[in-house]
Amino acid sequence: MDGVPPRPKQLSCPIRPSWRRRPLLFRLFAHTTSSTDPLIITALPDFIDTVQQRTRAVKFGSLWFVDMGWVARCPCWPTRLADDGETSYRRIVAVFSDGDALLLERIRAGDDRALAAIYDQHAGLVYGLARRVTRDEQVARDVTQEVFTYLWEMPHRIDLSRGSLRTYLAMLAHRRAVDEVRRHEARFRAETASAAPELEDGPETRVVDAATRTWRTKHLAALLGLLPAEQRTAVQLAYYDGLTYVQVAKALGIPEGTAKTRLRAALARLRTLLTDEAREAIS
Amino acid sequence: MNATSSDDETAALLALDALLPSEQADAELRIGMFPADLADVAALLAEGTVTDPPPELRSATLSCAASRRPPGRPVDAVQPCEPALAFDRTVEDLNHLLGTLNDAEWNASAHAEHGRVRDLIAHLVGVERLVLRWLDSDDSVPDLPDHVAATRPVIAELADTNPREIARQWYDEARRVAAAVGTRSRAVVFHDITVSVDQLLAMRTGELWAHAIDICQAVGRTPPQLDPERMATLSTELMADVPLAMAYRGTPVPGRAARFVLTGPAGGTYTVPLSPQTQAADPDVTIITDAASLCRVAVGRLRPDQLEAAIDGDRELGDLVLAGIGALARD
Repeated sequence: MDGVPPRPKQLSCPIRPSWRRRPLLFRLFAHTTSSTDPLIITALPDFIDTVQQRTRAVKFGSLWFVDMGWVARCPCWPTRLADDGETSYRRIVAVFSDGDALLLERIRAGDDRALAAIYDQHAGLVYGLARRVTRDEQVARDVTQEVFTYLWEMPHRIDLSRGSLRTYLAMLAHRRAVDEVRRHEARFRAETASAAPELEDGPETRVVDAATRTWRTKHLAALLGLLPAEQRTAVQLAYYDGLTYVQVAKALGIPEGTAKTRLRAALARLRTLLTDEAREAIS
Repeated sequence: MNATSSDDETAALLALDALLPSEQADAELRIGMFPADLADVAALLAEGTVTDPPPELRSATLSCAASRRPPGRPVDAVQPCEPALAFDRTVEDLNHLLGTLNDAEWNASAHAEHGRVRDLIAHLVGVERLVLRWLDSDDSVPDLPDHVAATRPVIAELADTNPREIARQWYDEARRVAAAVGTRSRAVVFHDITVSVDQLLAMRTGELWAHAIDICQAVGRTPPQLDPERMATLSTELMADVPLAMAYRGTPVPGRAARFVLTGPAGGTYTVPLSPQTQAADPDVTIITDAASLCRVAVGRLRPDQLEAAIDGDRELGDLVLAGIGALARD
């Protein structure tokens, strides 16, 4: 990823090397009346563009997929556009996500290879998050199995208009992990107390350590670093340790209302930072 | 704190799963799902935890999923109906359509080979007669490889007949075909192809559907859709017939296979060999498309290059397969 500038998470497109020779399908947030009309791209606020050229379009439900072979040459982020690179393409790339909708269509059709592909792309996130929240490897395995099995059984429950598949899986994994923590709270807390003093190190330390792996984690660490310390600590306790706002308040020795306010302010600040970056990315 | 900021706070706590369990349901009821951008923020936090899972977890997870929902079938799958029932229902649908045509519509041009609507139905009278004879294993029936030429004498015979009488004759013949099915697994020679009775009835269902489409297009009506059960019958038979279709078209590809991911309730996932009498190998190409659209290609009412499909893998092979899909269609 050297040389690739950090981008907002939802704009990235992790592509395995073996895919590079294959046509890639990117979901466009697009609508059009027929396969021969120009596509109108309306993915981001205040952003409208028209695709004048394309090689092949596929429609599933209300979504169009456009096969742009040139993207494959620079799948993560096209710092260099291909031969026919035009401003419009640069902008299109800024609004695609990877083929989540197509993968979901395949899951609905019973294609277990699509599930394997989704697992390969996102298992690290699901497992890592579950392990971080539950601090129990076996429970993290169980949560991972549950999350992907749920996806396989209930693909129609996923609304991609609310975010990427990765976002959905993170949400689901976190919810399940937190449920596990709360279900077995006494046991988990006891284990935590006798385990490494992770709260003393702080999730931020581990986040910073992990940040060497990808620009995403570097990006996250940078964003967290922009939060006021009390907000950062509150959000870390709530998200990474699965604490309720009541528990956060107790852990920090602050009123519950203050804990709520800090959590809300932390998320609002992160949201603003992300939005600013998204605007910058397409400007 | 005003109501809006209270809702924002609740949304943030929901996004972090930080509400008390006793408050969660009420909160979701009150504000619904939290905003998508908060989900993105929460998911961004998750990025800091990415860890390689244990290698064995992959197969355990995929096996667990497969045990809960067997691969191959759509999540909202319908059960295919028996080909005999599919044929029967399609006969009734076409008969109903014919009963609504006025004089001008009977004379509308409907088919490049057969001509007007009335001639198209006369062609079907001829087809039903041929099928009846084949079903009866009548050895005197000659091989008639050309489906169109084989029925021209009947079209000529009925040229002066009232179109509603042609429709009645077709319906009677079709009912006789339905009654003559007998043992469905036995082999029948259909023109120059040896197929089972079930395959024959599936092909005939496709043919009647195709001609219903022709008629509706000729008279400016919306082309008919088959119900999901019949569509599932056609798509299932179609997948079973891919090797035969490739061979019939003269483009078998021994040792290679294609994976079809057919979307929609009539869909499913199939790995099929591209040559008869070979086992399905690891697929060289994956074709992802809507089951109903692929069936339209199979009955010759959609050109392969018009099909909205995603092809992953060997694209040339994918195009070859799609070109062969319609080889068994009889028009």
